[in-house]
Amino acid sequence: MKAQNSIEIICPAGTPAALVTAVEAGADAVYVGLKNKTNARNFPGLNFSAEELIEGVRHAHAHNCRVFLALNSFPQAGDFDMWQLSIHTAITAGVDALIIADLGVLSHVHQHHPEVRKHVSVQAGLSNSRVITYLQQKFDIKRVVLPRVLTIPDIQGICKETEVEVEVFIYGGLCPMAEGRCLISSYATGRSPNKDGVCSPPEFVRYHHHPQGMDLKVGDFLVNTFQQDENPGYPTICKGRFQVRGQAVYPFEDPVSLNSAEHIQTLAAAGVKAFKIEGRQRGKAYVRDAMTAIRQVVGKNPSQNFSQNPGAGAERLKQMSEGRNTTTGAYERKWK
Amino acid sequence: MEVGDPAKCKLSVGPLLFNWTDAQMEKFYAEVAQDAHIDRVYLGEVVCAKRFSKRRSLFEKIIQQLQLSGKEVFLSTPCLVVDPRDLELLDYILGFRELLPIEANDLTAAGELAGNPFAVGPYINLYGEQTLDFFIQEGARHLMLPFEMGREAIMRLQPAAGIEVGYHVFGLLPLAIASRCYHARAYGKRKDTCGIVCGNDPDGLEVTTLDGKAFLTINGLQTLSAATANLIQEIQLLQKAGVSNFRISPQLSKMSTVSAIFRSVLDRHMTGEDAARELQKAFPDLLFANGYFHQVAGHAFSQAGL
Repeated sequence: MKAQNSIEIICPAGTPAALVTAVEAGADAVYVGLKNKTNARNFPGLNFSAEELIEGVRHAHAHNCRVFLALNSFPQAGDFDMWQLSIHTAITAGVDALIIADLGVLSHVHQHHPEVRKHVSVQAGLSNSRVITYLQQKFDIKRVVLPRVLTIPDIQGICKETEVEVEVFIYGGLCPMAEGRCLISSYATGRSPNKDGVCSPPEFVRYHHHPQGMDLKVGDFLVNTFQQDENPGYPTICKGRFQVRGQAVYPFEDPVSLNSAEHIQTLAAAGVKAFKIEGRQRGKAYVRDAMTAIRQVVGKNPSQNFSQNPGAGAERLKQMSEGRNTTTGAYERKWK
Repeated sequence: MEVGDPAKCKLSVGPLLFNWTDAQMEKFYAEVAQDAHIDRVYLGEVVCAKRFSKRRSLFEKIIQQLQLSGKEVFLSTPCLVVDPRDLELLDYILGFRELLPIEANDLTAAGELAGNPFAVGPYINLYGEQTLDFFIQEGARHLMLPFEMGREAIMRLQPAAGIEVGYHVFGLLPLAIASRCYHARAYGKRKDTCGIVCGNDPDGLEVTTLDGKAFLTINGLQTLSAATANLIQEIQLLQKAGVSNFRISPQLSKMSTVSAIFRSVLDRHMTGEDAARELQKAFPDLLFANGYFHQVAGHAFSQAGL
């Protein structure tokens, strides 16, 4: 087993094939979801059936890689049977932890499955040490995945002030809004991350080609328009272009993705236990490339010393990003 | 008790979301204090701690004024608590806990209030029965349903005895909160040196699509809808579903018209259809929405509520 004080790289596995790839690329743990709305990536063609989960866990464990299961949307009134079944499926398959956002689910798992390791999802938005301590005392949570709104000093403070393990996002897509606190998707389409496990769902996305280029709509709303030669990303509403004060602008976020690989060492020194790559919706190639590049940045055994030559991995991460534009997000206080 | 007993239904004014001047606030709350249709008022800065820093004495004056005129006063906590300034605002509000009921709008506040009676605000993710049970165990006695909750879920939630359930029935819909300030971004400033530019737009800053359709409203760290939630035709359905607290959200214009129309329907002095026409007449330029209640896109508006 890995040393106690080593850091972990957590890799997304949206499909069984991506899980195999992540394990091969050296992930310390993968995170997965079931094929229903109990997780925040409830997209067609993604996620695991009960059988696939059993096989995935077996494969990962055989290669010394742990499996975390995301149960990180919010149960709706009348839905709890499905949630109980999903919790049962996960525990039976032998996952190493449940990643939970809802306090009713945390309470249920704590009461009925006290032996199961509980992580608190980024969707719960635990953004300071007081609230983390509250949930630790209440539910014996072992780890918190911090929201992407925090700066490095915020994270250092949280690591100092709580005993709960801290996991942060280091690479991939970025919500400009506080996670689990955004209803823009359901305002436009009726479906939201909290209720349905989806944001800007594909069945509401329309691509309209015309001589000048292409219009992208989500529901009834035009979220961007492109010239012929531009390469549009997925039309997440908050990353769209709109008119504010008479100008066409990106009022919430430029089309960039998070790349904080350069801060891993600082964050690890502050006590961050695990570094997470976003992207269960992404394919095998992304999983392999991101995992390999981050492994190159941190080196094989980061508890002793970081890679002496992180440059190549860092360069690769930059090239992989959407439009090659990256941001270090809130970490450097550029938003403040 | 008859379900939806008009005598038990409260009309309340939610916390002010926008950054008004002291004079605008004083005028607004003086009118609210005199408005006999309103039972309860929620006070507190839920969006941005920075705006609140010099407002404490005015805030305490307004609490007093409302209490003297017989209003029930609840205090609302900030909906995103990250840095020391947010915690300072939270602690200031919690300092009133012996005197006034507190509405928690994030889990930090809920954790601090747990063990004593408190109110769960609409910014807390409480959608299902298990979650409601947990919060009731922790001391929740009042609940404002999440803004995106629809009719079936409200009916199913079948609130346990002893907890009051509320719903947002008029005003822009809060849709998101962030740690970055979109108002500052729109004015080419940073959050630390924002100059409180959100004060330029007392009804928020419009975000329209590139083809000119009203979509969202920026309010500092918060993003709201462009459309105004209007559940006037759904009042009886909400009463049947167990909702007894009907909350309208502060806006600069014609708040007393809104409260009078809602009170007439709550008291069954006016039908929902007639009241809908009255609201349309009072606000010919507003876009209305009731989609969340009808379980479709939140911006949608159906006139055939009943």
